[in-house]
Amino acid sequence: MAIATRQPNDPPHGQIGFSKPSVDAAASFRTILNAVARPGSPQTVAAKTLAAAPLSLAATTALLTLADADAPVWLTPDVRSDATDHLIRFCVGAAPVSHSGQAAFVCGRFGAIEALELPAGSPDYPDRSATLIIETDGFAAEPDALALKLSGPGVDGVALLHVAGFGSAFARFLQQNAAQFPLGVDLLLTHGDQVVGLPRSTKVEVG
Amino acid sequence: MSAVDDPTDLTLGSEGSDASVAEAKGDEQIADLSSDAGDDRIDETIDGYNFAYLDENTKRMIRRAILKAVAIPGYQTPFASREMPMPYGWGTGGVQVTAACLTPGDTLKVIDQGADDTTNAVSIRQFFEKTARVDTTTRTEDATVIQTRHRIPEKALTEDQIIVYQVPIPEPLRYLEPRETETRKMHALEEYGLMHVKLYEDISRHGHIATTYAYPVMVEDRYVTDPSPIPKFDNPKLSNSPALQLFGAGREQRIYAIPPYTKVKSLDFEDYPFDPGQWPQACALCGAEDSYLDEIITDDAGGRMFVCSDTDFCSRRRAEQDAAATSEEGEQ
Amino acid sequence: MYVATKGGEKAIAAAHRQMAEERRGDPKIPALTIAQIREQLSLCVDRCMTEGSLYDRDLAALAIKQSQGDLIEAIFLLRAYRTTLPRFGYSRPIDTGSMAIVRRVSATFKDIPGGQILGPTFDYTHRLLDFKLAAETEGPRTVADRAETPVEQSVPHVLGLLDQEGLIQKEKTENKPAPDLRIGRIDFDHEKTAERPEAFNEDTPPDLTREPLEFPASRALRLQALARGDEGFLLGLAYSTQRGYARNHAFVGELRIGAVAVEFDMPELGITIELGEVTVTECETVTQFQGSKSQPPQFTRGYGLSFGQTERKALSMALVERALRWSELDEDFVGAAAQDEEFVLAHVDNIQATGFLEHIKLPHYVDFQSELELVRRMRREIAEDSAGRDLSETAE
Repeated sequence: MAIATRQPNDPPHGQIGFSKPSVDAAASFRTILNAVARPGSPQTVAAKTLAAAPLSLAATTALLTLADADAPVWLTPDVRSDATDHLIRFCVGAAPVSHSGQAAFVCGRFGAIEALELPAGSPDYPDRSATLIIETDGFAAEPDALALKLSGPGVDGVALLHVAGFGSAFARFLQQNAAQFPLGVDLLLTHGDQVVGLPRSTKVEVG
Repeated sequence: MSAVDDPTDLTLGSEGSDASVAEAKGDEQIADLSSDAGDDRIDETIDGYNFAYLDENTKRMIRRAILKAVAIPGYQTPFASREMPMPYGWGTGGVQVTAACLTPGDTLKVIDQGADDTTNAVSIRQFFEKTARVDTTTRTEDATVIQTRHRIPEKALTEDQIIVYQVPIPEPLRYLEPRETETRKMHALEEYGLMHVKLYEDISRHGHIATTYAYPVMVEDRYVTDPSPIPKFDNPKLSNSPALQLFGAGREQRIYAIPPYTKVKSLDFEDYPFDPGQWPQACALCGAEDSYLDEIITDDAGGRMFVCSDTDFCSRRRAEQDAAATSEEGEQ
Repeated sequence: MYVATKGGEKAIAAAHRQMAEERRGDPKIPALTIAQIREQLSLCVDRCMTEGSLYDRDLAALAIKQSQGDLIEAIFLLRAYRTTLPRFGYSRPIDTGSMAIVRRVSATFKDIPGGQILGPTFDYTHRLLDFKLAAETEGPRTVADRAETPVEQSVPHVLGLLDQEGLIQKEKTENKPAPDLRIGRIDFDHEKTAERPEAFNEDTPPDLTREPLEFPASRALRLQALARGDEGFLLGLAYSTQRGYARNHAFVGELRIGAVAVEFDMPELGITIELGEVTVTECETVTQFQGSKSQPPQFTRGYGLSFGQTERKALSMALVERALRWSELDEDFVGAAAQDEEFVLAHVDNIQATGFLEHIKLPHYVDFQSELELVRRMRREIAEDSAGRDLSETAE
């Protein structure tokens, strides 16, 4: 069970967590729902918590909103810290898992995630699959950002998404994921206070 | 973590002691004291419930299921539906989905059979007014979340809206195959022959597909999906809608979704294309020729008239017509 | 001019006021107290606690009062309340072997260690209306003869005695899922499904109220569903097995009723505390089993457990549970309702059943209208067809 402790002698990351769990989680969920329902369109999470460094505010918010004792989290080693440990163990109350294959949420940088074994669901239960929360370097249309053309459910025609920080391996990963539909993993890309949904139903072309 | 922190536990304790105090008194007094105590407690606890009634653990579980449902359009995602304070079959699935989606800033509209003031719509709207303190509206375009039973509003929905359908039987194959273990395999294997056979038998027997509501659809070329018991008249509105469409079946423990701009095709045959049907008459109240109509029996002799089932749509049209008439009169 | 009906809100408020009045009945008659219901309608209370899955005699009595004695409505009130309670944890399994027994009978042995204790039961009453009770003046208080010392010490289960001879089946801790009824199992390549974290040890049963029911269900889940299930539905199914629909001639190995302690581990303090006591009814039935290729002839078990004194429920549950075990025991599926896990578990819950059944009272104008329109159209087409035929026949 999650216990929001606010002891005066707590480390500074005592400010991680929702101060009004019910309404903060409700607002954050709507932002994430919008992101997943409209793939490729960056949505902004409201600052209801301190970010658990090195995770972004958006990734921190997503974990606070969605993970708990029934939905365990796997953090890739590169994003583990005292702050994220505090987030997962005290704020989220998620059960520790010994490998990524048991996790409902896998969170970290793409480089550390792509090699992992990830639950992709079964034909009977395609929903029993992981959701990846992947930290990026932003969604601005910079020249060196990966430009993706998205189509499929949630996209009116074709949407253009720029993702900074990843190369074509990421695009291939997305394409392979979409090709397995209805199996597959679902992605939330995060940066700062922005979150972008890329569910398995989204078809991806490098644009 | 201790039971003492829990306010509900304290009320339990006081209930017990009320009863025992009452026992010591005269018969008639006992009765009144005890019944008052019982009734007050029920009223008081309404304030003690969490925002939108459900506890946070439950909402997280439902929210996770909603996200998976959106990611796999048309697939029925199992969720651990809770007992709600209204009966199964009366919208508990829709209510749980709505509760998981609502934020304090939302404006909620609830309709049943297209109408805002049917008793069950009133009851559900009051439930959320009480437990989530959200604004409510009857105006379709003012709503950010619309919970519905059996209709899609006539006014086109927008990107800023979520429509939540109450679903009695989420499995479109259920009446053809009662076993969940079987229908789950059919969906896994994309084996929908049974459904086509059923529809074709209808045509050969009656000359028509005899399904007029809950008419099955194919979502994004993959999952055959039950659109809930909306009339097939509403089926075209399912496809390529700017709004997010969520479906909740409480008793059957399933949530599914049609994301915005998703291809939804009503099942049919090349030689028998899907026909949503239309009315030979216009609405007797507002004159609309393109809305779904309710038949009203007006007298013992079988007199009848047809009026819009979407009460918001109809009354607003009439108000506009009245306003136009008044201004014309004024000009004359 | 027709005006669309408004006023659903007013109608609901009026209906609630009327119902409150009806519930109270004649105000000249004293109102029932919670304590009266708890003490004098205790078997109603027990049934509501069992099917409401909430052990609280006062709340069950309140629910009965509030529902005017409609027990399914009362059970519903308890369930809806129960869902909102925070969950602190899971108790240790109760130990019915150390039950403080008030009633215990075995139909399989004349005398058993610990003895047969008839206890409070309707069993041998003559069902004659007792008009003394109608006189409303209480006579001298009845004082029952009881065993001189309550049976507090541990009393062994009768089926344990059979077990000493190896005559009763060994229960497996791991329940293999029931095989598919119709289609052979399909092996998919992709079976990397998310495993649930093991918060408890491997024997911890799943919780029906926290996870969606999935078929085939484990025995633990089946038992949970049956324990919450409708007494009448289970009674009918159990009776059908006695009459030959998946016949399993059951002997009541033991029926025992009494109080057991509920204990809770507090690992952070390294202690186990007793939270209180609950009264339960436990029934173990014994059915002869011919044996199979893998197992020697032996007796098999059906199990029933319910809150309070709810004997009919526990017996019915045990018979149905035994019928559902056909695949585990390599018996034939003969198509009987009581053997059919999906059929039984999907329909045993009276709150689900009554909700869906009664929802047909809700307006269905829209779907009915669409059917009305279709039926009229089809009749019109048939009439036009035959009119056309008549014309052409006349022409000939």
